[in-house]
Amino acid sequence: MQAEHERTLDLFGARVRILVGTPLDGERRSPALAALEAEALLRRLHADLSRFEPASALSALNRNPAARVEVGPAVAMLVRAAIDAAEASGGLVDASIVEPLERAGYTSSRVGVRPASLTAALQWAPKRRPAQPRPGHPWDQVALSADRSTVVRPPGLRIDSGGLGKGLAADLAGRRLSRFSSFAVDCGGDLRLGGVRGLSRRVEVDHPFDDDMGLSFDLAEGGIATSGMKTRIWADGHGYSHHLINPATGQPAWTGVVQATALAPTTAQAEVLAKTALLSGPESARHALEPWGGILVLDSGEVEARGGLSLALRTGKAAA
Amino acid sequence: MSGRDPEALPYRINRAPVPKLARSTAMLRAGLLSLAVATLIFGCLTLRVVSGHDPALGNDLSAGSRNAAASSGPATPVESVEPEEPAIPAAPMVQPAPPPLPVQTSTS
Repeated sequence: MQAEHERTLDLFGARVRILVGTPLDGERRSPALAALEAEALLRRLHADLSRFEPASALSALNRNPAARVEVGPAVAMLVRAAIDAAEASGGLVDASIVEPLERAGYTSSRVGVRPASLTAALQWAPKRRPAQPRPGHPWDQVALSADRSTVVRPPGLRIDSGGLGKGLAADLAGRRLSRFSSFAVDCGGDLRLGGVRGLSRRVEVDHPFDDDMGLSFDLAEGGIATSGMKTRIWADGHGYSHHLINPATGQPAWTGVVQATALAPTTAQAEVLAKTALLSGPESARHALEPWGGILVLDSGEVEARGGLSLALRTGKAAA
Repeated sequence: MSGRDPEALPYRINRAPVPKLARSTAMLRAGLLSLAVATLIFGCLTLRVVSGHDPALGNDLSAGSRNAAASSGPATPVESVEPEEPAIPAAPMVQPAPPPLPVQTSTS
């Protein structure tokens, strides 16, 4: 029997992988054609939503000094999702913290940049404490018009697509593959799984402290996202920084959680849950991941499965 | 000759009623004749249907020409008495699907 059709590409500053099974339910496209169309969609979304591409629609919005700016459907979708994420996370998932990100040193894509040692960074890191929302809740002042054509926000407020953009992209691409026996869209670790047959797929999870060890579980459908500091962590003049910012301080967050994996009906929801779990510290993270399931890795290296998720330990390199 | 004008002889018409037996015989004869005619017509029609002989065409139709004749003019309606076999529902086709490949979630 043939394997799923597989297509890989570099996008969103990460590796993107599209897997497509057998066409069913009147689907007339071949797996190869469907994967190609999914790739085209992902490329369009990246071109619109990348903060690092000066020609992107998001960059145009961020450069515009006006309070009301007309936007296209991709940016409108991102802004809507960012407003929802801020509300769902109590302001912890804040897409407007571009300036603190840049101050921390995250001014360009870190593709191909070797990360600093997480163990060394944790030894250096200040006292652990949960992150807090920004004072004044600037997201309350961001709105999208009813016809989704205009963004209203305080002049100068910039928006970062980050993991939310990848989650949305995985969801949209996955929706177009729903009439195949199985499919998976992997946007740099943000996953959308599904398919007509409801076939379970093994999902490998990186271990933040050991490349030769990992965890795995089986899932047939839904979104999965992992938030962590393993790959985007760097040494600066004073110590270490990473890309997960405490909105209240504008500084990298050190909460006692180094990695959170969340499951949810959609990848965008999983992305918000994973980031909320990491920023809110171990105690709140356990509650955040309980409804749909997830995995926490604490500073100590301790691993916790939440929501009844059944985990298997992997030793050796990941198969995926 | 007696000198009598034969034209003057009384002309006697026998108006005696037909005996009942003779009348019944006549009716029986007419009935048998009708039955014979009906049998003949039915026989001819049956022969035409079964053998394909069409007196109007005046020839004996072979199988091929019968079909041609049937397509070129009104066909004699013949009801099929062959019992139809009940349709057996086809088993649903289960298309093979490849097993899903493993994937990896990593930090974003």
